[in-house]
Amino acid sequence: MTERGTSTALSYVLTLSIATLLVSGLLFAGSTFVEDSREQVIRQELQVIGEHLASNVEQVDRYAGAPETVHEASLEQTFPSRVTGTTYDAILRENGGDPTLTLRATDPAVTVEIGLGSDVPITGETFADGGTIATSCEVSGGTCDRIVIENV
Amino acid sequence: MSDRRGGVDERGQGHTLEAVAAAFLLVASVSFALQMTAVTPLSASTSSQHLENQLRYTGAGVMASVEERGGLSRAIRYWDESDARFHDAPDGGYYTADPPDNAFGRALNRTLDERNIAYNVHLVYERSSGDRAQKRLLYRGEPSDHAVRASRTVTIMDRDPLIDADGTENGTLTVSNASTYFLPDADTGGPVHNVVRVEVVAWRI
Amino acid sequence: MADLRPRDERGQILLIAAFTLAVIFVALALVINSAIFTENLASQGEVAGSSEALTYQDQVRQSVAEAMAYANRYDESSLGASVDTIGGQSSSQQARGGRVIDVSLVSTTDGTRIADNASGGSAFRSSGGLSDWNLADGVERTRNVVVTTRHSDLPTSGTPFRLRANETGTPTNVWTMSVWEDSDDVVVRVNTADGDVSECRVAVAGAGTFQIDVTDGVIAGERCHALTRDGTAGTPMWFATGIPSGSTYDIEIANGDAIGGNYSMVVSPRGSWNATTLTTGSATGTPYRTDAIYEATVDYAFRTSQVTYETEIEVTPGEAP
Repeated sequence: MTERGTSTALSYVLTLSIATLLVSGLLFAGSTFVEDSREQVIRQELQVIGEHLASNVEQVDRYAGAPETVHEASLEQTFPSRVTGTTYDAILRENGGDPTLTLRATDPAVTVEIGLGSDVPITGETFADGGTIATSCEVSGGTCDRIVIENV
Repeated sequence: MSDRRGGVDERGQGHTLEAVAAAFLLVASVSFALQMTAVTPLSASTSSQHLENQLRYTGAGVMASVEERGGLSRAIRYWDESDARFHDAPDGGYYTADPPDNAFGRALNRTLDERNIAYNVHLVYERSSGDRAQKRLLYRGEPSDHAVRASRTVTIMDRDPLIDADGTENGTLTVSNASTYFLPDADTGGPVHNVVRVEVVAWRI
Repeated sequence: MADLRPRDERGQILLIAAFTLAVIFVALALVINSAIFTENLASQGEVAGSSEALTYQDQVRQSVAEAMAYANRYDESSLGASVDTIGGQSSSQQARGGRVIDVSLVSTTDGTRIADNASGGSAFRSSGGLSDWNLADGVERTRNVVVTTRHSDLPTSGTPFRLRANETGTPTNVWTMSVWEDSDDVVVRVNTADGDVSECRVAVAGAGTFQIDVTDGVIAGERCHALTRDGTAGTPMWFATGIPSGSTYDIEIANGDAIGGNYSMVVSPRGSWNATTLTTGSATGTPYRTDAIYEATVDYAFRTSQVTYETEIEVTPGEAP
């Protein structure tokens, strides 16, 4: 009986520790897998939202180019305010002649960049948070000077 | 003895309950995980979003290309004054099986009929009282749930002539002096007769 | 009892592990749900009505062009009322789709219509009978130049019919179009003021009348690249190409009695027609001029809950680019 008691305690400790190791390994792999998947999905979702926003920008550019005089041109679209549980924002930049739309998620930090056509009139940097984003033309004297994005 | 028996019995129940709870948890999580996949709007079927978009743009494109040569305006004026209906239309006053024998009808036939797409064509206009009226140009049946509509606006002026069955302009009859023409003069004081919206409702069969 | 205790606790660790894995599965479910939503978002088309704003603008342009043709033909003052009716009906039709449309006439540019409408066709002579003559001097813009003729009325290549746009004061800077027939083909050769030459042949069957649309570049329904863009290099050959913008030009006809038929064009400004070679009013047989509207500027606004678009469009049907 006493020998069984000793082996029982040892087997108890061994079994418990092996089980704990195995289980913690499983949990660690599982959470890493979820984190990885989450980052991938966030990247995809930002890509999709970015393409929608870029097509809005190019549509406003078409609006500006079509007639002879433009008084007002703007497009508004509601995007989801969170992607997979994290917030994000969008920046429309001139980038030295190569206009780019950059989307950044907060946590985990994922950045996606979408290039726009080089003749789209964008100067400086405009910024909008995820949610309802309006793309519009800043009009002066009947022509579209620059295209900006902003929250409404 | 009875305590021991009772103790053994309850311990067995505890184990069984634990096992049942664990099994239930496992089955519930597996079924929850299986529900995560779903049928999305992009799944292949006759009514996916892409196909609907494509159908709408096809309809709009057919009308734009026909109107480029004035074909839509002529199709609206393709009226038989003596019969009080469109040329060669069956008794209901609208085309059913065969599209009209003008550029618009031929374009619809070439583009849509060949691809197993059924369509209806409606003409929407306003009466002089401001009420909206609708007339069927072509009707093939009740559209399915996934039908799409493309429309185009055409302006008819007071002195536009009616079109004869062979496609030439009628020398005497215009839209305003033809007594049986369906389109009323919405603006009796001005030169515009009416602004008609041609709607093509199309769906896949 | 001592045997059972370790087994009890081993089961508990497994249970805790199961709970934690279940929580991880729920987090995975959130991630996969987002992925499916992304696929849904990707399948959405553009903002509702965004491309409608442009296609509807084109339809309004066509409607106003029709009203303009009517006004030029019958009653010039009716254009404002026509545009108002078009705007009113369009807006009530589109309002049912949740869109607000506003169309109104802002201004018009005056012009003159120069035409020869003799029934059965006639030679392109001036009202005084000259075969080489000026239709208009000091023209800034021209649109809708259309010549209607027949095979039997076309000249041979020896004396082709010529229509010229000659820069005022610089007789060397001239855009010329020469028309003649060669068996069944209609041949059109264009020399621009820049020195480019292009020629096109269109086979026209039958003895009936057909149209040469000079500003549109269409002969009997077929495109003629000599009037639009030269086939190989894509150099523009449109009407009056090569005349510097800002200068005016004169429109001349040479060998007018070699060809027979009708013609019509609208020029701007209104006073540029030549009083010695044209008559006023519409006496048939002699070329005449009447007042016409050259261009209409229309204010067009398109609004939905997501789109705002307001512009001014200039309607000049048949003007070469």
